[in-house]
Amino acid sequence: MTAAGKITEVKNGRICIIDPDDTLFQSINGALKSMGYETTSAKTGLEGLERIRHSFYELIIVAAAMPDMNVAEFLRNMREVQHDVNIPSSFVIITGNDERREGSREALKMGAGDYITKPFVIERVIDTVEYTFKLIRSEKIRQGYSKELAATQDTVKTLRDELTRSQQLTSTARLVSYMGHTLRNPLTTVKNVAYIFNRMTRKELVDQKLFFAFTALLSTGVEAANSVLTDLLGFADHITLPVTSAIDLSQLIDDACTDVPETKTIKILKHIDAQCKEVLVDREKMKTVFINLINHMLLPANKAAQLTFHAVKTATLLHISISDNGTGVDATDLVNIFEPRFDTATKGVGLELPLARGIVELHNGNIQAESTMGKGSKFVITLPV
Amino acid sequence: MQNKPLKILVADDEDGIRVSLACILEMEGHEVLTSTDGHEAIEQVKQHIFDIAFLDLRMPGKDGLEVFAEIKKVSPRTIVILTTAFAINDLIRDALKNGVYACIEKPYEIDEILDIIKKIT
Repeated sequence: MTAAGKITEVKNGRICIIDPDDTLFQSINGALKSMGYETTSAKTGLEGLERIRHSFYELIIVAAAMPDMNVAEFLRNMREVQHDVNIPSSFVIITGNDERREGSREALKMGAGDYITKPFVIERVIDTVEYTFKLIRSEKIRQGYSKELAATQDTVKTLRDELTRSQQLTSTARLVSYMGHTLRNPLTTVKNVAYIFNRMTRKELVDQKLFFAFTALLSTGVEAANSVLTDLLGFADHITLPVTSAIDLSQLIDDACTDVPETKTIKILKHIDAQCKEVLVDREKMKTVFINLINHMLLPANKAAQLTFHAVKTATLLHISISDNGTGVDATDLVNIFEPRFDTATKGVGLELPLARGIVELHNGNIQAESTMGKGSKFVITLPV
Repeated sequence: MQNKPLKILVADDEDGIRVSLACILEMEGHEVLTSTDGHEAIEQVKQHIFDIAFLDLRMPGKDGLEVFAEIKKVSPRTIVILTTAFAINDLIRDALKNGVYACIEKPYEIDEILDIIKKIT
């Protein structure tokens, strides 16, 4: 059991007086007790150490000269007893006839707080005790604050890390991460084929007709990697700051539809507010957004397909929506609809919707997708005016 | 041939990876069957008892985790190793807890694969 385990609340604090001469204890004990301190006494260094081992004293008043050890030795032994880092170390005041003797100077260097020269007036001791306990209390408060400060610093660090993470996870970063991972597939092929080429002789490769099969796999892998990079570079080209001018939104939608040949067989409905004759957007970029969105509308096979455009301009915002009368998208797919995805059919990364979102965000707007199974899907774009 | 020949399934939709890994495992003396998607892999598992199955995590049809769940039902003794080009996430950590033997990030070292097979046999 450590001394720390025995700390109990004493009103003002615990003091241990170690002195072969009992006079000091007798003369100040009454005064300290009446001030609310709990006191105990010991006549030798060993006895003092025994007290410290069993109880914690905030203050130890120790005579420099003791029969069994000098004060420096006492302090060293005391450190041994209080070696547990969880136990606060006691304050030590030395009493003696000469500060230069009995290891006092060494003890002061080791951290003893004060030296009271004998003979002394009682008031001097009482004042020192009071002063020491003031120090102890302020030290406790300081430690409390520094713990709190450390906790606050931890919180700040956590918040900062979270912020950094969320900034890093912007759509572009997520895209780059996705593309990077996608490149690992062709790299794996290249690595595997290199392994095979290293272990088979040319004759074995040729005899088993493997050589050409594997070089074909290599070039497919390189093409796949290149296609991912081309997509990425294409994306980067579009993700530049928009150059806005006053555009007729209705006209822009018509142009976008013209660029998607499939729309020729689709009924297109437009409900465009008259205010939208002039909207400030980057013409080419916004056209790309519409083309990409139209390409991702799910059109019904069993009835006449229909796309409906709505646009309303208020004093501050421009709302544009595109809806279809298709099959709809289920909720799990809808959540990630603007995330890049690998298209196993085309062996390319599906970047049209991530790009649409990227462009809208560059216009300081936002885009959302809604869908009801069996009824249709809707993209809603909101742009500042 | 130092090792006991094993029956191994390689399921990956990437032709290059599937064919090359199968070839390497055959060079080691094992019997290898392949599938290009999750559904095919499940069919294979129902018809054959495999010692080891290498499953790509992202496959069309059913993904590697779904195929693993099926293997666990049909052939619990088959050792399942997931391969993935993507970072290992919580989903995979759960799979490892549920009995997936290992999850290997692509591009992997072939020796890493062969070491695992040696350890198993």
